[in-house]
Amino acid sequence: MKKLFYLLSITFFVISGIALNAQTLDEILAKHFETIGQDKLSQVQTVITKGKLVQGNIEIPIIGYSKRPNKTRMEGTFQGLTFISAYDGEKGWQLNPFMGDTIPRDATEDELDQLKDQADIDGMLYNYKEKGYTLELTGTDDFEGQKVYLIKVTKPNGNVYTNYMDAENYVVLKTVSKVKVQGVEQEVESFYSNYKPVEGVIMPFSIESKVSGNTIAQFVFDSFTFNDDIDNSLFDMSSFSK
Amino acid sequence: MKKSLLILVISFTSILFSQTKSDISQDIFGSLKSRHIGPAVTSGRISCLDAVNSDARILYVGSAGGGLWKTTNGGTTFKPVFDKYTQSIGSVTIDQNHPDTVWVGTGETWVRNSVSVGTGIYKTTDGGDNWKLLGLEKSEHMAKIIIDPKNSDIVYVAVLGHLWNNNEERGVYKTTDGGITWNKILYVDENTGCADLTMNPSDNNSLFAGMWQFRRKGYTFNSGGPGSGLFKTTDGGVNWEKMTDGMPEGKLGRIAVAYSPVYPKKIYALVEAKNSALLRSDDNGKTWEEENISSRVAERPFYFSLIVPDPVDTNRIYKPGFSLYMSADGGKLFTSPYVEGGRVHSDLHALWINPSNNNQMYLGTDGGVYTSIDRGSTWRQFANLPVAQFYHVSVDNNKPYNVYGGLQDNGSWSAPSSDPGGVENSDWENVGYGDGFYVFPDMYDDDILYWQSQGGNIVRYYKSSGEVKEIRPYSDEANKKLRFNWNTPVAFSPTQEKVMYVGSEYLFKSTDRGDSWERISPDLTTNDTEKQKQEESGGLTIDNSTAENYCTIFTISESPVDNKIIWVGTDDGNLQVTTNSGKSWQNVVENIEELPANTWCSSVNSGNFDKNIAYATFDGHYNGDMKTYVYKTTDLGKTWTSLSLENIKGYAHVIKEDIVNPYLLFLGTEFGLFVSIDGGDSWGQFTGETPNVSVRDLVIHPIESDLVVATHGRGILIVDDITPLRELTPAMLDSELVVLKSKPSKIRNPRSQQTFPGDDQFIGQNPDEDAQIIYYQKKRHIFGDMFIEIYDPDGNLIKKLPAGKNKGINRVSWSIRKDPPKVPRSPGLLGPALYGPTYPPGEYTVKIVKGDKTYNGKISLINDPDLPYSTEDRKIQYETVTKAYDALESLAALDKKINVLNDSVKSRIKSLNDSDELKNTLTNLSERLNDFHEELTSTSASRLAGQERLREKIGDIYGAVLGYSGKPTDSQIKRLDLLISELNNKQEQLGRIINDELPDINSSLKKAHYNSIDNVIQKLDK
Repeated sequence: MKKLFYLLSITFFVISGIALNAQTLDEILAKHFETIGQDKLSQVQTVITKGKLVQGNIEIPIIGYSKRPNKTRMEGTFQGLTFISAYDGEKGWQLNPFMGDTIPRDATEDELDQLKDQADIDGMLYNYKEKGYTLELTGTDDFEGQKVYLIKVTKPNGNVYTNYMDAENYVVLKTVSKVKVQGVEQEVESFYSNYKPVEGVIMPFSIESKVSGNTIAQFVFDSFTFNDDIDNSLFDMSSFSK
Repeated sequence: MKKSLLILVISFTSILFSQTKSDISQDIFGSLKSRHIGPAVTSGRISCLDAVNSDARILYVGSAGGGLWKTTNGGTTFKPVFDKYTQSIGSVTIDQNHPDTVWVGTGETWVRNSVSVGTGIYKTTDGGDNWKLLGLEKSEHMAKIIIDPKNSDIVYVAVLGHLWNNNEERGVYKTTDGGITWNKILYVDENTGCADLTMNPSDNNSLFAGMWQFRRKGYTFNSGGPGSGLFKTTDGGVNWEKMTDGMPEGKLGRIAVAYSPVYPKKIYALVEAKNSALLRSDDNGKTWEEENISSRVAERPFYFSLIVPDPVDTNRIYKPGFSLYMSADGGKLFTSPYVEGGRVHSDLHALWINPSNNNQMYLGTDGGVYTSIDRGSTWRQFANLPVAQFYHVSVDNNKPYNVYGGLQDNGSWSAPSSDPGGVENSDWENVGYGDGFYVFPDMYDDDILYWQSQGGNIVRYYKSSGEVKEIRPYSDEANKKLRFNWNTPVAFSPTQEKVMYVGSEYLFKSTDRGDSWERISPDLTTNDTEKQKQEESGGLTIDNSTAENYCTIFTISESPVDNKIIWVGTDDGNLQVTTNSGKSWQNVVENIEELPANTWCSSVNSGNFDKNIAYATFDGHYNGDMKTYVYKTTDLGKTWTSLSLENIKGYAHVIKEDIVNPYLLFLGTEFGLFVSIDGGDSWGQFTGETPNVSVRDLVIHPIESDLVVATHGRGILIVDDITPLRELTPAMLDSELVVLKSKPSKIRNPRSQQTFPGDDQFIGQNPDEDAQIIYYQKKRHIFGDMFIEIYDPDGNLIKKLPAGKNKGINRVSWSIRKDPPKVPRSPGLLGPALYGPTYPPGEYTVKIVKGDKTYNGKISLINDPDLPYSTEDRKIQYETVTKAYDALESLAALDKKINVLNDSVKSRIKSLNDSDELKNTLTNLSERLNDFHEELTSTSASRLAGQERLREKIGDIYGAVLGYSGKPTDSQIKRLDLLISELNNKQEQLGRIINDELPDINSSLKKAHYNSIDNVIQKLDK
């Protein structure tokens, strides 16, 4: 269960950040941002995501909150127990009752990194330079018979995310994340689909995560709600109450 | 934004409809994939390996036919990092200055009869994630790569070149620009390649190259000739000097050469000659001394020409061969490093010694990789490198069925196709020794297996006793020997009990399991005596292991439609057929147009539906011809049609027609598995978890409909349930989406087992036991909704599943279980409630919703016929488990009400003054509600607290009944009823609180101007 939520968090943040490209990286990104409605997304101050995480016969309702500039919270409930991971812009924390937690604890460095990604409503492709990421158009590839651009994002900590950007539709179809967890590299493939417009922003309503070719989790979103008020206390560990 | 989206949708749609011609490509197979069941216990031949000098946990292992593998944890786990490319690895070299840069030369150079071929040199700069082909594509075999330690862009490559024919792309190559361009800096002739290369550790311009003249044919091998020699350069390869002084007399053969890494004037050379010798130079090659001429340094040079100086101790050297030999005095005396151990495979090809700790070694063998931390005294095998090389595969009809096959270098084996916890190393059973080939279960006697070792040693094996009875036929003449191929064909009649065939140059038939044989053919081969001089084979070092046995029958097939029709193919290119059980034979190979004469017939298979149909593959690589030859006849061999197409890669080993759909064909070549759904008019490579590995044999399980694939490098792969491939027609490929049939899903509980073996074991995957919803879609789904709904036989929607979105075939698993029951909240999980009960048998409707369209299909659930339970018993089980399920859900609802009520009560308490009498009433109620909650569910997070409340008690019964598909025990049924009446009592108890106490409390609250608390319950009830 711990691993599942870890995977969830590394998959989740990419939602808004998926991009695609054209001849040059900048052109590709420009087309991508136009396609997904980045201009609209830039005006979005908060996002509430509702959906479920499906793993085998288990479905876990999940709800995510993000608030600019850098707050996020995600929770999932199973057998009445609620997993929470959150970041208030300064401090990351987690409550994982499936691992025996009864009170929240600080996020580890790796978790914090993922939480920060998750808190980035724009995703890692937008304004990547300001975020300190390196982007590289490493080439094109054939993905199920269609051409994709490969956009490699390298973060200062060395984590690498290769985005498979549909060369025709300029949305991201897949991301291969190579993320170090306690110094050990973990590779996860995430596939994005069911893209639908939400107030002018194209969002993937379905994400499938695979490890070594096997599906380990699927996320199905029912709704993305923009600009609802979210109280800051939701992201704050000290305001956590049972 | 909207506009761009519109354009996007239009362009997307136009793509969908512009493609009218169906085109079979690998993409049509979509998410179909094979699962790998091993074995890793045998592992397979390792051709080369290299580790990072500064971090020996990082090791790359190149295998003979199973690709390149990497570990970053010293061998606890490995992953393949070269699956998109050629799987035969000749050399691997890490740039020790930039360990993420690794060079791989494809094409093994331990050039035995069964060796594969490479396709060039590759480089990664990111530790194996991405590779770039950098040329030398025609080299086929690459022995060594040396990176200049002072300049990573300068790389020298020992290119061995073609084994089976002349070619010019061989010798020593050099790049000075990281592989963009290459110069051939040492070339002898089109028959001579470079077998080894070494660089002076203190002078990067000084190198020695071992040049080797060699040639293999199907019937002979030659090592040695005027081209062979040891060459030296001191100017980075501009000029070369051939060593003559001190070399053994006469022609030379394969030469291994190595500088001592710690004493740059000391060089060791292992030189094959009439009198092979280990030579040593202590003056940088000016003079050479003969150190050793024992058989240890002379054995099998084409397989073991390798000398490894210790990186710490200048006088210590290792010679891998049939064993590992070690000299501590520079080569004069060899002894075994195996002091306390040494149970390693007996063919050794690669050795890495840690330069900062020469106690630590990695050893590559025909049985995988071993590691030592005591300088070779004892060894531990990495039993997680599944690179076994099968020749053939067969199956039985057990449940689960077993898989049988023989391995190059590693005997004969069987394993279950699935097993609780996966197919583990311990599930593989060794049934025969030597090199293994065909292994068959006797379909009429469970105790009997047939296996063989090289050169026709066919045996009948009794599983219960372990006794082995040799059953090979012998020549009728005392002075003659039958000619049996290395990989002698054995075939069982598909229709007649105890009837089997064996081919030498003649075809033999037995009707009594091999106790007696009748010769039913004349010599069916070309009987070319020039190709029967195996005693002379080997060149300088005679090597007659039966691997070059020739003019033999290689493949046999009796028609399942008419058992009088038998097909035979020979290694020297004949294709013979009889239609009268062997009374007369006809060689029909000449009817195959454009097939070069004497091309090895690698397989022939009778059609399963029409006796006039047969399929044959031919393998020309023994003559240096790498084309794919695949043919079909519909008139018993009078005419043949080629089924080969440009997109098929590799020389052909086997073609099989499906046993249900004659248009479905499977083809195995040296570079992968190919599938046709239109009788061979078009082919797509099957790439789902299936690398470009040599596919030697295929069998379709008659009951399970699985395709079982024998690979020569990746063990056994199984493509579960090929039903959707049987369903798929070319016409469907143009459809946006088509739902395909799948096997009925059996209702049963999974087996489980408890073991904690650590992470260093290979575990083969089990088939997906869930029901499979299968459909084909023309293009990946990207925009808009796509999901799956499942309806029960009464038409009720029971499940909504995420859909598979990929192009081609999609396979979506449905657990056939209800969602897990809701349970009362507790700090810990309730284990049994992680699963819902299975749905009852019946026809369920599947609706795939894609945008505004819906595609319907059916999926049927059946009671597993192998389970002995009556329908009535299953019904009782279903009713009981459903009752327990409902009880848990009712309990959860009850507990929720109590908690919600209590939360409301508590919030009122907070607002009341201490003096208020109502506060006491509410506090009392809250305490009772708290106690009430604690009677229903455990409140401890500790697994060992042992708190058993109603939740745990019902959960316990639920789990027990759920876990057995037959009738529950009377005790369970009784116990459940008891617990349900307890649950009813609790519900009544809450009812009393709500009905008897709340009205007064609420009126008091209202009187005191507080909100009443009954509305929270009403909300929940809604």
